[in-house]
Amino acid sequence: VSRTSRVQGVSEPSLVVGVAILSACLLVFVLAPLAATLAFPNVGSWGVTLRSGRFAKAALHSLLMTILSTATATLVGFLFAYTITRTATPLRGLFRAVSVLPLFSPPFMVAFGYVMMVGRNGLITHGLLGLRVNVFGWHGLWLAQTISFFPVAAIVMEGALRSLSPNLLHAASNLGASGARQLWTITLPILRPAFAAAGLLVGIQVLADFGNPILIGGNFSVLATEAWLRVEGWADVQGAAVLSAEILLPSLLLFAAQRIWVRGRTVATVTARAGMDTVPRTSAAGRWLLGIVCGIVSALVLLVYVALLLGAFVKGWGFDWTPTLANLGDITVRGAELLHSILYAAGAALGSAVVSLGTAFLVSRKRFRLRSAMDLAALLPAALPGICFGIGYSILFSRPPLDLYGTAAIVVLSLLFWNISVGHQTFVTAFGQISPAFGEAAANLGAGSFRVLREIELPLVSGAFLSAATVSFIRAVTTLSVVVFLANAGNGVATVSIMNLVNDGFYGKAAALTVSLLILSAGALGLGRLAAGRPVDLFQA
Amino acid sequence: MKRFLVVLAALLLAAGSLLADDAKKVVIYAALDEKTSKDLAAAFQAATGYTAEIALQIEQAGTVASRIKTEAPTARADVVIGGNSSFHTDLATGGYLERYTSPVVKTAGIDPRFMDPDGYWTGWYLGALCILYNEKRYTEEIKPKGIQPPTTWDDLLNPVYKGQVIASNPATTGGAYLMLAAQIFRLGSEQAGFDYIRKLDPNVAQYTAGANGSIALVSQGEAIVGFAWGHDTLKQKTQGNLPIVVVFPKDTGFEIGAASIIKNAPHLEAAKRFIDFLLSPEAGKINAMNGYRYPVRKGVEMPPGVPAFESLKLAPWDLKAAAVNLDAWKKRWADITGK
Repeated sequence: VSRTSRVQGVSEPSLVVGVAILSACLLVFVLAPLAATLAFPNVGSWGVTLRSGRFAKAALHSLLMTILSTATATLVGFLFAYTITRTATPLRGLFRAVSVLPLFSPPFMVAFGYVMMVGRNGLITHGLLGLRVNVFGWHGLWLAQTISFFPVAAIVMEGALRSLSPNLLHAASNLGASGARQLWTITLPILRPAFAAAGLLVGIQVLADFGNPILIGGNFSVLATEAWLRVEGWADVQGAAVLSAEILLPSLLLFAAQRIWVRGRTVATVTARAGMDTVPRTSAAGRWLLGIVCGIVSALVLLVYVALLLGAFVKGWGFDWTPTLANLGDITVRGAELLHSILYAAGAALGSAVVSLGTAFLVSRKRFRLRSAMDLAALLPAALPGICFGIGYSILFSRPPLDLYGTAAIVVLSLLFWNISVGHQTFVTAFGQISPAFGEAAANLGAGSFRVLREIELPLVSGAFLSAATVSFIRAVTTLSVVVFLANAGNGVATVSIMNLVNDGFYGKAAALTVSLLILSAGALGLGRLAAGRPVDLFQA
Repeated sequence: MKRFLVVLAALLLAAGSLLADDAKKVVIYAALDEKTSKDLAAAFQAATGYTAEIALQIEQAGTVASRIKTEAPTARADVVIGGNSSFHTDLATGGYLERYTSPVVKTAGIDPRFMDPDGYWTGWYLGALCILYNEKRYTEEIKPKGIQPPTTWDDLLNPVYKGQVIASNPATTGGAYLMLAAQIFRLGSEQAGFDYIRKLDPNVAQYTAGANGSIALVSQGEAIVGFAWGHDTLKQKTQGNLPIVVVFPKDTGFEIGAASIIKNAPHLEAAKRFIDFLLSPEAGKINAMNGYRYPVRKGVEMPPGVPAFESLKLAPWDLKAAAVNLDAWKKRWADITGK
């Protein structure tokens, strides 16, 4: 095990160009739109918004929800990742599939699904058990956020667990340490950076998410919903911008906390020395416990998708369960939007995986003046509510010098840069676990940085590349809040149509359009994996 | 050389026809339901020979108005249609609108109180507040107690509906704020209006963020009764076959649906013609049949099941008072409900 303290300075010309290009991209497509959003409100509206008691309460709610959901989502994510990588449970395949599903949570549908299944008039709670359960409020939201965001944690954790060399565990096992003791004294400490990375990603996304709280929060308002509602309910772009800034502050604190917590504790476990491949298996009791927890969570996840499928193929979602195919009729006229959704997201996903690979490589492996700034800028987008990103792009790129109004480019670029954070964090974690010795050896033999990245580092982080591209793709396909400020008739995407259908009362059609969007996305991901020479099974590295 | 001249002439012709076409075109930002917008554009095209392009179609007027603000100073569209007049007043105050009063208001004898006193927006339809209830849950849970279906605002105060009413939050949406104002205007004083809010509060299961949040929740049986904009409710009920009953209380509030020309509109003349068109009987009919909204122009047939506008006893309406008291009333509401 070697400490990854050896980072190299930037001296090659090609590397200087790389740093310059990536910095310029982050400046133009992340920092400038953010600045444009924050510069939009005048002084008066900063004062009015910040003094409002309503928004103070929302801020408190946001913090509370972030703490609760981050804790549970990270824990559940870890348990899933551990079950998938470290046990021989026969349900592993199911658990992995389930751990991907909540990433596909298009606006409106998840919350509708919960109301339909476990609400006051829910199929299960009322129809089956005769109960009148209220899912609206902080408890329902906590559940929804845990389910929605544990997959992000699971992905980071799974990558970390997979690259954790089993040698240490074998050594401990030979010395007589029990499985639980190994977990406590070896696995968990080594995973500390992964926990921090996962917690940070989950935390900032919970802070910035508006979709779940607006539908299931009930009277429990949070900052992100308030920001969205300033726009939707009052056309108050200034207020929305101020609230976005308010969300940024705790995100930055989380970022700082994460840095402090992992400082100097990154341990590389993929080293230039060969290791054994097999991992000691978990005890039977442990397997059962993990299986039960993952089983319950899986049931909750599947519930939503069963509700969604039901919604697409019945006459009246929630009240008339007569089967019908009528809802599918509308999909044909939405062909253009569906196609846009898939194409834009694919472009954004590939782009964001490449950009975040670049930023993570530089941040992890090189020492240069803008290193911390680049690290922060690459993480910022996840901390920004989608609406803030959309407002910034709308202000900045609807006018010269870069007028992209109504084009595919404005949507693709916004989705690309809004998604770099997950990739960046995934790659940084992956690089942290791979000893720089490989690259150093190659460099000593005369290989340039690009060659090292392409031929040595990239193959080692190819799993992370795939994860990053997949998550970006799914987030891009299913986002509404980023694109609502950028989509027009010519570059419209499916989520905007889903919103319009919901507003017109076409819940069945909305569900059908959502289902077709999800099927197309899954198909596109499968094709992408085939093209990359991987098994079609998502997330199998 | 000759060939070059021919090509040049062809190019000039093409450019000329493009320019000509461009002058006979109107670009629309629509805050209406999809079908109404499409039908209006098609009818305008047929009636005038102008091209009508819907560049943005989002039902929430706030989102559409926000985009006009972020995209300024370049006007990307000529007209913004739909949404209650407060959004248009807000845009006018921010300097995002062009002033225009259609001559049709006078020639067709349309009531001028539906027009912007400052001359920016044109009121072209009206929507009234309605009460809606879940038919099944009412029949199973309320009717056996010998209680008639809710038809008046006071019916919602009945303790039998404790925790069964979906209301909306005036802090989060302009439309919901108008619903609060409607209670004050209907009852004649602030005191009486807020007394009503205080009495209603124990019955409220949830104050939804959106003005029309009750439609989905009552349909799904999350609660028994709620209130929303009547035109939106009827439209959703018909299109989605929702299991709800829609009632217009005798003394109810209403909103003025407006349309405006965006400042620096690239096609100003076409924009004016489009606003004129919105006041025509033809446009009124499209709006009424698809969107269940009452045209300001009298004599337009309404779809079956919609009470005649004249039959509604509307509460007196004071947009100025609603605007002036915005912060005070929202605060008082929040103090009462704790939301």
